[in-house]
Amino acid sequence: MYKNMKQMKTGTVVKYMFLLLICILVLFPFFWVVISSFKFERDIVTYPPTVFAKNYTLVNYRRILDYLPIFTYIKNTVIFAVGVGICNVIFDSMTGYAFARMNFRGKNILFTIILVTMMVPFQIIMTPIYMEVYALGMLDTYIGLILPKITSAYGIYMMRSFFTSLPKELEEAARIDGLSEIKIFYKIMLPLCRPATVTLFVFTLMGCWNDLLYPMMLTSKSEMRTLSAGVAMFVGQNVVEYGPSLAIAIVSMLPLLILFFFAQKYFVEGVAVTGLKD
Amino acid sequence: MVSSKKRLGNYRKRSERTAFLFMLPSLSVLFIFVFIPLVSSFILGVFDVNIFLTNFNFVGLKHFQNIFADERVWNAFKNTFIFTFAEAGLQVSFGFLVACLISGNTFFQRAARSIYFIPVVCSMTSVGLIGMMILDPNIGSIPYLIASLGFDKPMMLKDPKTALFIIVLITVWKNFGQTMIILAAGLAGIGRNYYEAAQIDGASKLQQTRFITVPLIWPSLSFCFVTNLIGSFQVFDIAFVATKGGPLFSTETVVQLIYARGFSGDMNLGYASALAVVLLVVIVVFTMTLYGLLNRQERKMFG
Amino acid sequence: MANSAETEASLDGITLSFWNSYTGSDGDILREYVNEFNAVNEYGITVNMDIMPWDTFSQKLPQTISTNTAPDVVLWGYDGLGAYVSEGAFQSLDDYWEKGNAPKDDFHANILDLYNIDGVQYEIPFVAFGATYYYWNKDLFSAAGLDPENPGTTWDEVIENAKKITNASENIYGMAIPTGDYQLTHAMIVGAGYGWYDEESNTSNLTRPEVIDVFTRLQNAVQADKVSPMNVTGNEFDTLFANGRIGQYFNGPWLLNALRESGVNFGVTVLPEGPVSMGSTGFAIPSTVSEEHKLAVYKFIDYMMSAEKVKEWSLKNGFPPVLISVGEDSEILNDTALRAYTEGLSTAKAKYVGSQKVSTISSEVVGPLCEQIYFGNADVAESCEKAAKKMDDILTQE
Repeated sequence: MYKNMKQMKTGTVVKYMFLLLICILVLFPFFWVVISSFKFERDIVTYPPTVFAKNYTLVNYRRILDYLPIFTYIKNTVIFAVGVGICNVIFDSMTGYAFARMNFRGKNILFTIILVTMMVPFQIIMTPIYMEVYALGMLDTYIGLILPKITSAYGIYMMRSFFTSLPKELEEAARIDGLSEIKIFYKIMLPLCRPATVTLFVFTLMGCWNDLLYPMMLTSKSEMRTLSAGVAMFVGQNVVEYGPSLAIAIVSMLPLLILFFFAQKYFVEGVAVTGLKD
Repeated sequence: MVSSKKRLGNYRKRSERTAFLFMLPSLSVLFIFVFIPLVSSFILGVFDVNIFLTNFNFVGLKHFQNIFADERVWNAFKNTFIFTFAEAGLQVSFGFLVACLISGNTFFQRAARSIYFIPVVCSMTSVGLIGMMILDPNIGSIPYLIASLGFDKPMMLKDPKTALFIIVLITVWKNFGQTMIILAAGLAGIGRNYYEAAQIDGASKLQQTRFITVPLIWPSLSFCFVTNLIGSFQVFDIAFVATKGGPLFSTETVVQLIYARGFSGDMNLGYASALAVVLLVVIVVFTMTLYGLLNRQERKMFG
Repeated sequence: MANSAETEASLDGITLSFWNSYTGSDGDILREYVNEFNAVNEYGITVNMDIMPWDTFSQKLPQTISTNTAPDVVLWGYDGLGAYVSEGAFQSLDDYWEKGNAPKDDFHANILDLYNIDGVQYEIPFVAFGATYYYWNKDLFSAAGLDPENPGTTWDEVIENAKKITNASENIYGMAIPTGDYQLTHAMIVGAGYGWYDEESNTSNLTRPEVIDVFTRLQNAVQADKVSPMNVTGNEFDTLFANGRIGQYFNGPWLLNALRESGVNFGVTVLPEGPVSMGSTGFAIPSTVSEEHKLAVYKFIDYMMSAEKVKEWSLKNGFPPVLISVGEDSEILNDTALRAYTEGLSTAKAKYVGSQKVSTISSEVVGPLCEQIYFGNADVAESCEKAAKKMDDILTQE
């Protein structure tokens, strides 16, 4: 494998040092955020800057629990994000599969148009979307939040890329066996794309979780607000309440991290395709 | 017995119909909630209209003329270009590198994957806020650390020469985990037997990466690169929260300018829409060219 | 006040939606007030308050007005009012003086004028304050050999003080000149007797010798005398001042509570040499709101603008009271900071009331100009001339 033991050692050591360095770079700011969320306000931003403080407190967390209907926010965010995530997985993989594996007229043009829809900043289209949702009478409802987002160009593109990289022999074998397209899709192709669908689900969920402008635009009642609205609450026009802002940033991140931790094992499955090749 | 040609014909029609059914939900929602708003917004580009949508004055190409004559617009495009290509290049290559290194299943590798993903999970607003606090030359820990090591205290986000680059770094820091995960999923789909065969043939790790890994995750790589480009062209949140386009407009991006002119200050939605059209054309030209090139390569490899 | 029992009865059970951008701690106090009102008001009115960040608020409000889904009452400033009024987005509140409780003559005339466009009152003032007061660090003054009870009375003195206090090696600076912020410059220009532009002739004042002089003096202070750290934003200066690093600071009243908590030994007074420029928010009612709901809103305004509530707000939040009678209350006057804040209120000058161009001018001309001059060390005369032309263009543009 390696030319000699010495080379293996340095190669591995360098690799691990590099990864460790990146870990530190990634973790340091969060470490600072977590610690600071337990500090008193005046200790958070001091000069000279400090990481540790003399006294710690739970006051920031208590504040966000008192000030915000946090459980309502979490509930709304979960419904919104999970709803959109599941829909995206279903519809985007169907559409992505069609683009990757089926032939029809205008395929390329249609895909190009879909890509183009990704190229416009949200601010520009938000007013028309608002009007459409209003016209459908869906403002301030879960379905009004979820419906415009049940599919995304990003997701379609992603699934198409994954389906393309699967070998053609699989479906051709299935077709010869007489399976209908739909069966081929969900019995064979979809399970093989599990890393991709899980990835898409997590990304979509994350995008919705952290989205501020979209849910704020489509809801006017604070009972319908999401967690991102809560995060923005402590940044005043003139004064920023650093402590609570950091605390709620942490609270907002935790569920996603836990989800990701559990979804880990689906990301790197490993075996997948090889069975066919042997 | 139906002739084979007819059977093929039936097959294609059936294939088209099935394809249509598969795509129907997505296409209808995209059409209603994205395509129509898009088109109606662009129509606004030839009007002078404010955000109350009263008083539509048809002004033809006046906005476009103003746009091309405005130094600030050119500056915003320059900043956006630099940001986009730097960020996309850095993020995809770095994400790929890391994905290759952590693609196994040892505890350390799994832990590293989770850790690298943490920044992705944060909202951009939080990252902007944190970035401002930690990187501030006066009250931030990082410049303080650098200065105490003996270097000149870096002004980071406050220096017009370095601010844009720092924004690029912050964005890469935040997003590389996402690229890493996509590429790792792609790597996972590559059969181990390819590598084993190559090893037997005496290929080095580097050669294996170049001739096996890269071609086989080409679809994922090009996906990452193209979507990254598209997203980066529209960069707004980080620049808005961390620097508000300063100092001296060195971090002002096109979408920021759209926001500044359309939703504050002038509040001229017509002008903002026109600028969005120009941006769209730019993005389309660059990414579609790139996409075409990458796609051709992809088809060569996968048929 | 002509409220028949009929009108009052018809208000029963009305739910009002109230939007504002008071995120942060003043939002807390607002919340308390709203909950109290909902509990005690005898009309059965319920107010639902929604607080959102300013950017979202300013994007969302026009959308809702144009689709008739607007809230019943909002807290709005006077800066962008001109644009809203000319689009007919807000309705006239002239009949409040008749139907509501707060007496018109208990408001300073200059504050009411902020919201009076073409003779019509579009907002009832909720808070008003000087946008800029003069804070100084008494300890740093003593250390520099200056009298801690006597801050500068002219801008020249302020700059001189700054030079004496500055000690770069200890990271101590004499004054704060924030990046991207032009308020300080504006305050000095106003002190010299001018605004950004002459409202009568509708041309810029940037090329006037007095204005150029202001820019030059400040540029020297920043570049040559280095009395201020470079490229620091307002928020960061708040922290630096609270940590005892800055000798003289110019900012609004929102600092007060944080400063008191931080323990820094400070004093506050009105600006040297000139009237304080004003910040303010008031109650506005979108034009899509029905007459019935408007009357309910008036009841809410009555409650919020009662002398009791105004005094409470002032004491809790650290802002000067907007009602004249409350400003004479001994509790207010006994608080040195509040007294300083209240003093400047009646002479404070409002900037360009009803103008639709000011926010454009601020973001496109004046802000960049200040940055170029103070931090980019650009040539003052040249930059002002270019900026003057730009401003004139914007002013004459339709």
